[in-house]
Amino acid sequence: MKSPISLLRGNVHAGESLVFGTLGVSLFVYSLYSHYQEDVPWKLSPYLFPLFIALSLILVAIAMLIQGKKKGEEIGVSGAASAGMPKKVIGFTALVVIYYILLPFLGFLVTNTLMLMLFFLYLGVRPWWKAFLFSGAFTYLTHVVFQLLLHVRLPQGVL
Amino acid sequence: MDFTHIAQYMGDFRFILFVLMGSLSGLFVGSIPGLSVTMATAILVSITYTWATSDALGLIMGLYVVGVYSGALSAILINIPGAPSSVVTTFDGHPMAKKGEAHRALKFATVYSFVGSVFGLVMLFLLGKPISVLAIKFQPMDYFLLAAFGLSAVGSLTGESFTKGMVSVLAGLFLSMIGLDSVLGTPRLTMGIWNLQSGIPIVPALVGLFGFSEVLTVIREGDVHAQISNVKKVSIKFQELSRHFLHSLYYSTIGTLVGALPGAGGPVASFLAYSEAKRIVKSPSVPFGEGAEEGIVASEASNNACIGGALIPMLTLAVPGDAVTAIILSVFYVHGLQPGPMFIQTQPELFSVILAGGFIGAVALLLIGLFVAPHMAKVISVPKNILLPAVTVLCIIGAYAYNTRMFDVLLMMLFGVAGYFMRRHGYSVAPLTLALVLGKMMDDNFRRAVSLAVSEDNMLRALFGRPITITLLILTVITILMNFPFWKRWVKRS
Repeated sequence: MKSPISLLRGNVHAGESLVFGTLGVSLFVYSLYSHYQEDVPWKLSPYLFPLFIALSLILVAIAMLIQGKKKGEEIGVSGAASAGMPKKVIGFTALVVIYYILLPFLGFLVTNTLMLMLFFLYLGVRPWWKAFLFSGAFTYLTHVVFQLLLHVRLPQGVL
Repeated sequence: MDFTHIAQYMGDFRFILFVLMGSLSGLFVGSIPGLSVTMATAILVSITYTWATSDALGLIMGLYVVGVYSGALSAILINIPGAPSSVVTTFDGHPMAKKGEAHRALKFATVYSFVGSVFGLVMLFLLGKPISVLAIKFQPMDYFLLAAFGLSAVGSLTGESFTKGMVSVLAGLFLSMIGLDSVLGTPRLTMGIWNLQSGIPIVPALVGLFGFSEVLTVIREGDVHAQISNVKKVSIKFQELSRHFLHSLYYSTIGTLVGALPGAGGPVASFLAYSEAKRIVKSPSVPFGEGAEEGIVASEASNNACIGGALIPMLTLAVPGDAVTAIILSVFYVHGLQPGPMFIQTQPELFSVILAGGFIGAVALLLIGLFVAPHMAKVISVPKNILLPAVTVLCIIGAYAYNTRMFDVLLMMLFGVAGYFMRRHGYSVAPLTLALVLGKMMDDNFRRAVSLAVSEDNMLRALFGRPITITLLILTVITILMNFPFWKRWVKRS
């Protein structure tokens, strides 16, 4: 019988199974606690189905742990693909977050023209006037389609 | 529902126009690697939710039918499948293009995609009603088990492994539980966030999972520098083109059956049909893999036949066959409609809308394929650095337009990043989507079944004692067991 610690050593799915196991246990505890707070029979309880999900998640996490151990023994932990977020993706996501923050303040027309140009430049569109031209044209097109044709009230901004 | 309803829509100019708009969008997104039909459908749902249901469905059906076909264009011309279901088309399509026969390859792909699409839709027309009649006999536990069977099938057929598929399913089920409980009306799993009281909105979640996450994935992979084949126009005799017709019906049958299985979809169908083609075609024009037109016929007929197949369980049982039909199901919910056994009887016009949209889409496919596709080489080569920012803006505005609130944009971004990590770690996002759509229905039916059963003398018999229930239970258990190592070892031994 393998100890839990030995299951984690050299396991390619150790991190993922720990995360899902913890989530499963948390959901299990939360569902039980919330059910008794509601004071209704189990057959009517809103937490009956989440409880099943929690139990299934715990079982799947255990299965994943065992699978990861076997896979780790076959290919070695170093053989597992690295699955981080490259700098280029982080940078682009950060730009989208900035877009999200600016949109309610500057409104759609200003934010979109500005940020779309930055998106283009970030992904390598050169020269800068080409990026500006594309962003202006696309912003106008989006504005016509959404605001004028589809009557979606796009953010106007507060400034 | 009869032919007159379908004919009425097929003669409606406004409806035809919507389908054609969808078809052109399908041609664009399907043929450009990095853009998917699922992503475009998700964005379209956010745009069309205020439209008349028939207009929205017409647009989406056009996009669906032509989008699935268009994956073949880039598969043939640049050896990069525009959609996963066109992977098999690259085996023979691109070798043909390299020999200077790109136009010929495109013609075969077009004609047999048309045959596959029409076959699948005819099957939907013929089988829709009988399956609905059977489904009327379903009780709450049957619905629960049917959804459970669908989700376990999706979990086992997509992603790197069954456990990862099941994690994706459970994550989707968990997310679908968030919001006000339908029985007691109390908030559940909302963590005190007011905006979550109405639950996780499906459209922003789908736009994030299929749109934004795909943008991030393409950025990570970098630009694709592809060699575009020259398309020299050649004429092909009708006899030459039609000699694979009988075989194509067999491949279309495979496609329809596989399409009806939740989760399998176009990629599995085209692989199966291709291996069948290798088995039954004893003397292909050239060996398979070196530019055999028989390979293109098998792949394209089967993946397009999946469309009709995937719509059968979605319309009759409310269980989607693939990610696109899961999104189409959300169109129904967004428009306040309830697909399921009664759908064809209570909403025959909408069933006709789907069929008419599909048939017009198939005709559009044929016309686009024969006249526009050979000129698509330039469009396919649109630089990604221009395309991706535009798609990102569409994702943001699409998510915002759904409820005109910034919270949905935030959700879209969170789902997008989650989807990116899921793809990177080998988790398919399709099971999560299906679970997110089906979760509430499963919860409602499960509790209804338990509430009804506790008042009976024998609770277990009340829950699982009916033939339909037993069949569904056995199917679900077998689907799960098939993925266990001991089962696989046993199959290998025997």
